[in-house]
Amino acid sequence: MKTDRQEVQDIFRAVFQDATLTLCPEMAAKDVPSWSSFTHLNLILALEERFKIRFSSDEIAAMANVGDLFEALDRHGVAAEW
Amino acid sequence: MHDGTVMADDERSPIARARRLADSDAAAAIRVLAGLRGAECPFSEYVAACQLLSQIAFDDRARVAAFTARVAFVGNNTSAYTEGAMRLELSQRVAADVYTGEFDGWAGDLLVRGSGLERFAPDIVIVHLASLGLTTCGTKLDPVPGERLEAALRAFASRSRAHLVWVWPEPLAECTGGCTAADRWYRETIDAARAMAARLNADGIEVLTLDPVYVLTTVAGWAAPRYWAQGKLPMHPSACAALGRRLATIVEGLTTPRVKAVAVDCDDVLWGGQVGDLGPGGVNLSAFDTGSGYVRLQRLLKEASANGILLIALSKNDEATARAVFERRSEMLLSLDDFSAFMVNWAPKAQNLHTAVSSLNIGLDTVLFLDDSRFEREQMRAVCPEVLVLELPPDADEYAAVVAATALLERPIVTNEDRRRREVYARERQREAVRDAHMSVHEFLGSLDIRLIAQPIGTDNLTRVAQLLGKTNQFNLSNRRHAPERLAALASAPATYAYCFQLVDRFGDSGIVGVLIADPTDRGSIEIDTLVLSCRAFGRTAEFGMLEHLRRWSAARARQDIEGEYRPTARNLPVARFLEEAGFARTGSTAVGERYRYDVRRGAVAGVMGEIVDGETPIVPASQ
Repeated sequence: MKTDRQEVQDIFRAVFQDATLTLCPEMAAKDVPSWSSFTHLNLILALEERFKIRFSSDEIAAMANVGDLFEALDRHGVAAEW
Repeated sequence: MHDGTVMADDERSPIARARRLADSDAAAAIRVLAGLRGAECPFSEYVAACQLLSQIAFDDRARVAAFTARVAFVGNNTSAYTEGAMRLELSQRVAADVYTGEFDGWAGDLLVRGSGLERFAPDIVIVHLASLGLTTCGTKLDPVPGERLEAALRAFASRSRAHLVWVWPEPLAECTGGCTAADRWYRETIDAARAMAARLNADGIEVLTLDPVYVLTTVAGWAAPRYWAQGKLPMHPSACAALGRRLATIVEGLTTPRVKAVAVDCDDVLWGGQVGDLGPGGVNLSAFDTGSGYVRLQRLLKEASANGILLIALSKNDEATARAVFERRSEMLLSLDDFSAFMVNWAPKAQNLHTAVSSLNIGLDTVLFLDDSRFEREQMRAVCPEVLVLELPPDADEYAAVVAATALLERPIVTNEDRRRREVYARERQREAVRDAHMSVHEFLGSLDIRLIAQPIGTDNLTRVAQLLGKTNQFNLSNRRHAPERLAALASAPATYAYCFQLVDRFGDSGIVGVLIADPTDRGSIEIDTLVLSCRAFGRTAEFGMLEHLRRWSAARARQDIEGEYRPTARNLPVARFLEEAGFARTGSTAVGERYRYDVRRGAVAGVMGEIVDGETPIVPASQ
């Protein structure tokens, strides 16, 4: 079984088309070349679909970096924490 | 968990395969991605497929598709998911070169000379003003700027020959269908839109309208204003994708009518039941209960026929029997005159379709094939991959809606054809590549992993065997109908061969489909008493496998010949030449039939494919 964190990392790799991408809490959109407003939505969609959760508008808007995203996932019971 | 497993996961994913192929072999990558079209894959994977396709250069995409179209999106919302789905849906037929207008820049694009839109020289312009944009995400229910849009459409139409497709605003999430302010706003908006479209059309400006409501009803959770807040999406991305797929059918219809002919099966498609078994009077056409699904499909096909789409009947039946349904049953909406070709016989359907399309002078790639049998659909896909094969649902009640949802039989209204006619970039198909993908009927059957499991007739299967004998009229060699007691007696006689056959192939387990009973004679031979095969199993070589099983059984018991007699009835024409096809020699006639013989020592009978195994009980998985 993969851990939630590995699953999240796989989703990042798939969405941003980078098989070597490794997550760290400080990683933000500016650090990933293909992180655009469109791929950000794709990321949200993929996470919602994989973990069967639903982020609120505020959560979607407030995700400035990977750490924020982990916190939001944690609120939805996904143990992706660092 | 080590990396190896992750890699293996990756290799299996079509997205990973397409990504690997994208640089070296764009055509192969597109084929892989097209496989995800409308498929029931996770939505995030579908999105990834759309995204990857958008990264493949237009020129590469145009080499794969038969046609190209320049499609512009203008409006007040983010169309990325809609565009992506449209492009993916079209990918194998129409390469779409897409222009995306500035966010909320539709007025400028349509009105201003030399705008980005005008310079793009579109074939088709999709105008989509979403309700969330018109109402500031549902907060202000102000009247929509209808005059501004009408003026913009008129101005653009005066300068461009592009087709205009106008997607109407969606209901607001707060609409209840009742009397809320949101409902009133939505209804007034749609009323105004309808009136505007009528005015434009009256002035010769043809605007095709699409009310998204009918698409949205198919998408659970389509209303998602939070996506407007984040990405200016008018609805949930999966609903945007559904809209894109619907727009693809419109773009395709405008670029080239996809379907010129519908090839349609008869039994269990145009009517309920098998006419060969039930007779013309017995098939289900009752519009007041379970027959309405068949009649509704007929109504749809009748409409298509009136719109100039050709109908081809493609059925394994006795032709006169099938014709009789059209002639005698007053509930039939379709008449024989509606059909341009009536290919009703026992030949493979792919072969019949070839004959029909060459006589009608149309391409196989313009044919939509409707058949309730998964076997027939897969065979058509394998042998004639150009043919558009629709997955019909198991319940006839849903046939018409499923066919209608493809929009393939819709014809956009053409009021000013001369002005609208577009030269399409028709190119010669890459015939060689297509031919490589073809299979022959023989190869297709070989790919099925056919397994015939012979079971001695006994208490476990007696009911099914008696039922098969009782109701099989078509593939019934001697037309003997033994009662269960007689069957049980035959089954327990040690010298008698009494087997039934279960058919399994890669589509699944068809259950017991055939019965073969043979008795020893005092001539040292064994005589076929009964041979029946369910019409569900026609054309899958099971009948030959059954004979071969009997041959091996006879050889093991030092019987020299197998003898059999075909006794013609009004309905068993399909089996008339069967023994001959299996390699039997005709030895003469009797008062009731034709006699045949096969020398067991000659080896396997003709026509056998796949594996024949003995089994007491249905096969269980090897792991158990």
